[in-house]
Amino acid sequence: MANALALQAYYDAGGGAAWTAVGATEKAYFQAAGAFAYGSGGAIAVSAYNGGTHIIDAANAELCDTAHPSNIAYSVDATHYSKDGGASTLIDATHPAATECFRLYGTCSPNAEITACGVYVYGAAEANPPAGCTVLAVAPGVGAAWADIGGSAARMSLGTSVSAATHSKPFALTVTPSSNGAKTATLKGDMTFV
Amino acid sequence: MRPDTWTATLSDGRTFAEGDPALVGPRSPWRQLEALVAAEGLRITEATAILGGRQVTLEADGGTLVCGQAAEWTMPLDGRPGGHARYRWVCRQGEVEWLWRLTDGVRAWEIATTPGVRGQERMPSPPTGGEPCST
Repeated sequence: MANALALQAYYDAGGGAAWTAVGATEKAYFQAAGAFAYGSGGAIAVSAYNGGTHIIDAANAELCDTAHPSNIAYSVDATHYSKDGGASTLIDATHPAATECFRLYGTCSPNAEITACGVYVYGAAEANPPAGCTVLAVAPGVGAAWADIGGSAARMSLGTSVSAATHSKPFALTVTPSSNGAKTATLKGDMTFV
Repeated sequence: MRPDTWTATLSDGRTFAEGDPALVGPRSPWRQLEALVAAEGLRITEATAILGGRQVTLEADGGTLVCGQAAEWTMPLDGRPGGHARYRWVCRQGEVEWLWRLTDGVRAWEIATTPGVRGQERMPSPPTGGEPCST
């Protein structure tokens, strides 16, 4: 009778590309383009956007060393994105594809419907946006433009779902720093079941 | 196994629990109960959400009762461990206020919100800490 929620990323940790839960001590890491480099070596220039997306463990070692998650970044304007440094693409219901996004994944036993689902990032407190960087999100099929999801008041709805055993709610993230130095934030997702 | 369910009392005195065989169907047991109640011209008069060592109850008192679950997931990006939280809740949907009682199995909260859209219930995130509420 327990329903559950996980954050998943689509990448290859050695056993083939698959949706993989981001574990409790793991995290997403956004860096500049190029090989994985934790810390200043991977720094994104001020006002630029992420050029690489990685999943790392508690020791900041890369987990996606066979194939990374797709890097989805803001491009040109709020209605376009670039995948892995490629051409600008218009955001629509299937772009970016679900497997190019993160997703909130709910499992229900017995079946249940999702009456609310959303995601936001916060800094020092849930009401506060992260300091020194802006995090934008887009949920293909729900919205068609990047939106700032900093702070609980900026939570992005990922929509509802009819009754089912599993519920997939994809969303893409892109980040841009407004100052130099390491940045941190907490990503929070929620799902309500009836 | 720790308690993890809900119970509901109908206006004719019958009681149901989430695992009741009469509520097996294509939708969740709560939605099946709502359909049964509507088909028989009854009302849900009281509902209790039960998780771990806590339970939270609301009477309809003129409103509509809904029971559900919620989950929250956090991923700090600075190396601290992330967290998962799971809740059970009951909500009384009145005309001017929705009253929520929720529990994570250890703590319980009562939170009033402005009315939302039925079928799009979003459990309010509980504040840090937690005070016991009526059970």
